[in-house]
Amino acid sequence: MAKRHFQLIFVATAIVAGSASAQESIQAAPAAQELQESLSLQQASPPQDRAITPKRSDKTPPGIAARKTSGSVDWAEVRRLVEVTRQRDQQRPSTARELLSAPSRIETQRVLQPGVRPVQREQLQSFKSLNEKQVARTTVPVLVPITNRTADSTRIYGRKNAYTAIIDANDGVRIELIGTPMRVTTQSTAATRQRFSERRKQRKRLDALDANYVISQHEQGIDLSFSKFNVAYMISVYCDKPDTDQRCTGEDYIISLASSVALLNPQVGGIQ
Amino acid sequence: MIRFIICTIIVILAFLFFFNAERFIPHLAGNLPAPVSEEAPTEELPTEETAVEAVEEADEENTEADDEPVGDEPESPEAPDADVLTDADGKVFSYLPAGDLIANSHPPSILVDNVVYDEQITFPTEDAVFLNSQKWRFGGDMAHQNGMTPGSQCNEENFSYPWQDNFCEKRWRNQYFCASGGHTGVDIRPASCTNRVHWVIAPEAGTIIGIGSYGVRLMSDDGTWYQFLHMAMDELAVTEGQEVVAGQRLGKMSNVFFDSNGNMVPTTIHLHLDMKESYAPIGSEEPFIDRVNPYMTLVAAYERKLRDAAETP
Repeated sequence: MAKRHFQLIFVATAIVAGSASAQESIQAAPAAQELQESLSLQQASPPQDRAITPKRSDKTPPGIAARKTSGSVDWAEVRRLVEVTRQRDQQRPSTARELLSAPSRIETQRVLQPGVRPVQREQLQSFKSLNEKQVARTTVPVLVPITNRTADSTRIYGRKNAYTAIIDANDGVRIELIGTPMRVTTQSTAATRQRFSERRKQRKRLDALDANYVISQHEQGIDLSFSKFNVAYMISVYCDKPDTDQRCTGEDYIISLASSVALLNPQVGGIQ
Repeated sequence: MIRFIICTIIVILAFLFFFNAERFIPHLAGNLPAPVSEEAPTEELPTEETAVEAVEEADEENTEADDEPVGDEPESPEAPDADVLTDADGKVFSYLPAGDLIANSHPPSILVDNVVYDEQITFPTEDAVFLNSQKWRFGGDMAHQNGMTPGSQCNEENFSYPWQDNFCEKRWRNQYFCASGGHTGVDIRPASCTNRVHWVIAPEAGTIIGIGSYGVRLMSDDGTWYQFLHMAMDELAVTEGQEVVAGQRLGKMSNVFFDSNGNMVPTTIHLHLDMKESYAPIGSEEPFIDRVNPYMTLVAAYERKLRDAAETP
């Protein structure tokens, strides 16, 4: 009797416990759903709810501050590269030398030997569009890509710590080269780590300048960045038709521009 | 038998009570930890001290309330917060965090760039502006993805705060630092949806290094490169080679655009601003010139502009 009594109690208890658990489950389901919905709502909350409204009285600058400093130009490395190119040219006459010494007679684009070639001050007079004063204003090594239009159409805009070279060939392409020893540094953030990780993956070697480079494309054309002599340079090619012009769709043209450059202010580094 | 039935009922009641204790004793439920998301701030449960303070504050409020006449007067409208930054039209400036792009406009991985690259630049427009996506909002060719159709670019929602970052928005071009290509700058709408009215000004002293088919490029004296696109090209205030000072007028915001096949196709009225910096991690010997996100630099400059305007009598 007692045994049957306890069996009944056990069964009854199990039924009650089971029903209670089932009831809890039924109650928990909407609760979990509610939590999920609440998280989704938080993620997709209206912009006004996520917006930051700066206080007039709080003059703390937003974001992460950057610092801009100037690197020291490594003219010894410039001299070394010029000398390497000179030795190479003595062994094999270069089209580049011809372009720079008699630019008006050469009208066709040619494959150039790579390297860095100095252009002395007196030779600058043959650069028809160049304002020599602009070249003299900057202390940055002024590199200019050598093309069949370099001497005809190069314009330089110089500042002490930066310069821009423009080659407007009027053939559907505009070349721009900027250079500066200035650099922005910031504290390490997820964004900087991500950016530099990607940069390292994309980086390739530009043998002609013994430098690393990175290429990126944009709606107007293509950019090539490289760093040399403690100076950061970027060559940009802007095309009238960037989708179809091979000088913008491919990398060969911009790499060739970066591989053969003239140095317009060698005297700053004592280069003859 | 009666004893058995009574025992069974007692046991059943005991189990019912056990499994539903939260209902019978509500404060038990309060002690159970509520599920919280990792990022959500947790509200501290009141301690004895804070509870006493709360009671005292409540008493004070009640006392004050007792002194006031009781009536059915409607509550007065909330006074505007004086400690905010407002533009010339009295709109309160606000912005979304960097990297918080509009829905559907970005790949899963976003570059969240909070850096203020230059804390001293002049904000590059004379009037108020609204920085937000041109493609994924009213009037944009991808607006349908966000339910912003029908609608024109002049929809008033496009001309309201908060600002929203749009650097690295989806584009087919390859920017290595933007996953899935990317928008290389930020788009900025003028104060009103009016063409050829609102001035773009130089953010820094420098030289105009190029006049393109629909934009102007400026190199600052310390090596920052800027590009201002969709300008009214027949009304530019500068020429190539001209040296400018910070704040000097460059030209007017417009909708001029040439597509990648060289065809003129009007876009929305806005300024596209690109910024390049020679950028290096601390300790690196190899800086590279990159397009950087101007968003937080512009937020900082805009805050200064509005603050200066508020403090100028």
